[in-house]
Amino acid sequence: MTTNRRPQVLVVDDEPGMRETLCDILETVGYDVTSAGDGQDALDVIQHKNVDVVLMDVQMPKRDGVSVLQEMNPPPPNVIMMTAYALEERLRAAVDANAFAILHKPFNVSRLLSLVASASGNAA
Amino acid sequence: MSVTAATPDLPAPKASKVALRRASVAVLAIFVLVSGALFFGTRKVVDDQEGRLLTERGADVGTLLSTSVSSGLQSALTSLATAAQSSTAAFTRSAQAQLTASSGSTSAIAYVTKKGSGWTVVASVGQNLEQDGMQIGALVNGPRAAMFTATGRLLHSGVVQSAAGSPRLAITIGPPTAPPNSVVYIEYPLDPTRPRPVTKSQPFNELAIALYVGTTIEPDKLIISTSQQTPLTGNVKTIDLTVGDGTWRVVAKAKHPLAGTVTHSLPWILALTALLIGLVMTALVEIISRRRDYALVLVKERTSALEDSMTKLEETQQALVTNERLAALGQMAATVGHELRNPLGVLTNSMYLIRSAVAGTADDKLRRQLDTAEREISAATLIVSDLLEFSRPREATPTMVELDDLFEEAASVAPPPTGISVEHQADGVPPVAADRDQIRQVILNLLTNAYEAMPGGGTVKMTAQIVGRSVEISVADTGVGMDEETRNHVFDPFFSLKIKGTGLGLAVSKRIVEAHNGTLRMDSEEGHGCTAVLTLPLSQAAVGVNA
Repeated sequence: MTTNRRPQVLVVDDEPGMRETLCDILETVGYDVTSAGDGQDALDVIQHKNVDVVLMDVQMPKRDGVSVLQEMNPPPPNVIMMTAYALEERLRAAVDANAFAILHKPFNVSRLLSLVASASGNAA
Repeated sequence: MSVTAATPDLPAPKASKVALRRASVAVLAIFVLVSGALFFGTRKVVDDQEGRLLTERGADVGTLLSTSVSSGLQSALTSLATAAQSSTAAFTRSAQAQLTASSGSTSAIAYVTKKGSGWTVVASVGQNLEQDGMQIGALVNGPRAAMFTATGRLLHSGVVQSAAGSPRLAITIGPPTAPPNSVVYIEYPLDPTRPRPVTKSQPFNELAIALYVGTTIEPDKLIISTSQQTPLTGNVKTIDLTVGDGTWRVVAKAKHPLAGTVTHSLPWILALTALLIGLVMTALVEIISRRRDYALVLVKERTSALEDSMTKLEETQQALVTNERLAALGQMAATVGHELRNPLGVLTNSMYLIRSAVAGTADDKLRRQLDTAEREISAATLIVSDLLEFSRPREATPTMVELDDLFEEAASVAPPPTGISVEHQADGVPPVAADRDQIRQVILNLLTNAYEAMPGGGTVKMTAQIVGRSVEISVADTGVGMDEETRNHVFDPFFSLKIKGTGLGLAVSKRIVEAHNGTLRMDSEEGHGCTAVLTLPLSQAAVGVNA
């Protein structure tokens, strides 16, 4: 890990529109962004890449974001969960699984960026 | 359903403890009437029987007296008259013998003959003859002379007064038993005050008897009485006897009931028995009707309890149906909300990218259009959030929230329309422990309401300050304000002054704030703008910004 390395962010969302806009925004700001369309792909990426921050949707068709979070081994990096409308018990489960923050969609981009910044700062 | 409540829980039937039921009163009345009818009916029968017996016995007594008195007197006078037929001396001897034999119950015996219009004593024996004017050779006048004149061939009787004034029974007989133009006369002293003793063997010992000469009941005419109380009164029987040419009257009264004491008491016995049965029956009817009333009250109460629970059941069922519909509606809102939030999120992100792309160009028109688009996206987002929050309230997950950041974000998410400026300050106010998204939703609601209250432009000021142990957040506009009526209903769900909007914003905001143990109120005067005041408890936690 070099000091001038750009922080690695993994965006996980089944919605292509959301995934693409988030990737664009984060890249514009200067992050090294990887994306995944479902939970299984996300786990593969985490195993092979040194990811600093994960931005992951809770509700996804194949695998629920919270279950992916729970399965992450070694212990997860800083994971920000996104949700449009999830059941409270799932959100609590996410908090219990050590989620860095929970963002309710639609969210303010500035707020997203400040969260990602503080998450990557923690990772570094 | 606890319809089968225990009996002691039920209040006793409302009834007076004293007043009898109508049925009982009727039963009692019937038995009193029956008792009365029995009494009077039986008494009539008993009285009739008594009267009949008295008549029979009285007749017996009459016959007996009639025979004994008539025959006794007849034989006495006949023997005297027969003696007078033979000679005056024979009469005197016979009269003397009778006077002696009667030992005082005969006061005078005389033999008189008619001389012209008067009567002369031919022979006489007895006491105090001279005082009574009945000595031999005396010329008789007065009542005795009238009696002699009235005497015929039958026995003639009457009452005369002695010179001493005591009454005497006078009996006469004329020809043919006595010599022609002559009358034989006997006088007996009367002492009606001395009752004649009556022995058991006498046939009329059950009766009190008074015998009068003639048919008038006067003390002077009383010959014999077995009672000291004359005249006899009450239930008496009068029997007339023929003695010679006259009529004597016997008044008889039963000393004891002739039909027997028990018979005599029968009306009372029957009436009292009927009355007793009546009382028992009344008590029975009363008990039965009270029990019946009690049972009826129980039935009524149980029925009404049953009806109540039926009604409740129906209401519950109705409420269930309504709740089910509402739940379905909530489900629908959640689904729609979820489906809308993703595209809204993508739009927000796109707007950010567009804004970044055009950041270099100083095109005001484009910037204004971007503001409008962002504001409308924000409005749509808020509608979705309010609807979701109203249909399915979310539990708050508090974090430490920097209020100045929140104000900044609100103003940027919902940029003000042209002509309105937004100011905010929260200097020196520590972060509050709150659910950031929920409080953001509240601030956005207040901010967009403020925009809409100022169609002609103005200023919105968002400020935060510490007041006591609370943080007070106010969102003040310079708009039209609201009247009292509006202020009273502004927090009611579905209350809206706007043509667009759900009417849920302030209702949801109030609920969110109260769930944070805070308060939300509207201070406003018509024409002087409006200030929404929100208080949240001051956090005791350290000033450390968590995400």
